[in-house]
Amino acid sequence: MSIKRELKQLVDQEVLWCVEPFPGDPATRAVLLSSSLNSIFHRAAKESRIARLQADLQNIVAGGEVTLSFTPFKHLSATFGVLEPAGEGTWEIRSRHPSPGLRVFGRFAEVDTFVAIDWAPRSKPLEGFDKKPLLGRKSLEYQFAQIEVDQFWNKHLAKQSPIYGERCSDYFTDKCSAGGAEQ
Amino acid sequence: VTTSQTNAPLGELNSDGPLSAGTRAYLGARARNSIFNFVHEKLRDAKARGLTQAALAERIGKDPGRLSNTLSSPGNWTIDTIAELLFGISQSELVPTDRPLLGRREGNSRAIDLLDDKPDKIVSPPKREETRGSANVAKIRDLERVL
Repeated sequence: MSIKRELKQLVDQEVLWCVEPFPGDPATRAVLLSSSLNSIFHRAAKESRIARLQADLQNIVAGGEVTLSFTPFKHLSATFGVLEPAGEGTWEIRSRHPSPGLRVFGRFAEVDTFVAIDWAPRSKPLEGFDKKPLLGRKSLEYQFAQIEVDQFWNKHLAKQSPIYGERCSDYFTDKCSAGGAEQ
Repeated sequence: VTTSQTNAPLGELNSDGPLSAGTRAYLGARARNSIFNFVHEKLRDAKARGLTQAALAERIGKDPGRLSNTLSSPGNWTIDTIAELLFGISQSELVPTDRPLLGRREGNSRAIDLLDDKPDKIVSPPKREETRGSANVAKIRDLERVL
């Protein structure tokens, strides 16, 4: 079964949820959310930080500019940063503004298709949510998030390998440039 | 059954009621992303014509590392940042304009359709064009009605 068909099936089963662009904007990329991640957007009206995250995800879907950092934990202000070990293909989407920054963890199923599985605030808790902040790169929370991604992938997409590459074009067709520390 | 993420602000934006803090923040983030996309579009064009990031950094008096960081995200951009970037990139300035946010139809498509295996095989039926023959038939009918 093709990866697309498999993802579509997971959407039909409500295991994954598709981020749609704002009406009138084009849909050029797919960002799919796990159910637990999708559920946080029900509170977007009350929680500004979540509303901003929604705008950031829709911008990715609508073909907005993205920057990729290939050096773990030296992402500076890149939109996507790879986590170590880089070979596992786990990435974080970095919604940095305003504090607390949010991180959304997941993997690329194919070019222009990101499966977002878990999330966490970066530096301090987000009021009304029971997620602990990630804090430092060696924290348990970072490890838990990566385990969560790995378990979800193995449960639902075990037959598919996540994308792993070292060029922007391995992940996005266009409007993508390298960011992070060593650029 | 909806298979898509809730588009939380849409209902509020379509109503006449007061906008929540979340919806106002959403609008701000949209505008920020839109300007970021616009500046990058300009930068891509300028790079294709030979501009290097080092030359841009020198032109606007920024450390190349700091410029790279600035260009990675619009998080801390101010109007001053946008003005200096645009001039450095293309000797241009930002001219405000707007468009309706609601009720737009251009580019309207669904992300879920990207998961179709062969989206290129879905071809919309060709737009029906009035041929000279059918136009003549219509004219004759109009004349018949008048007569």
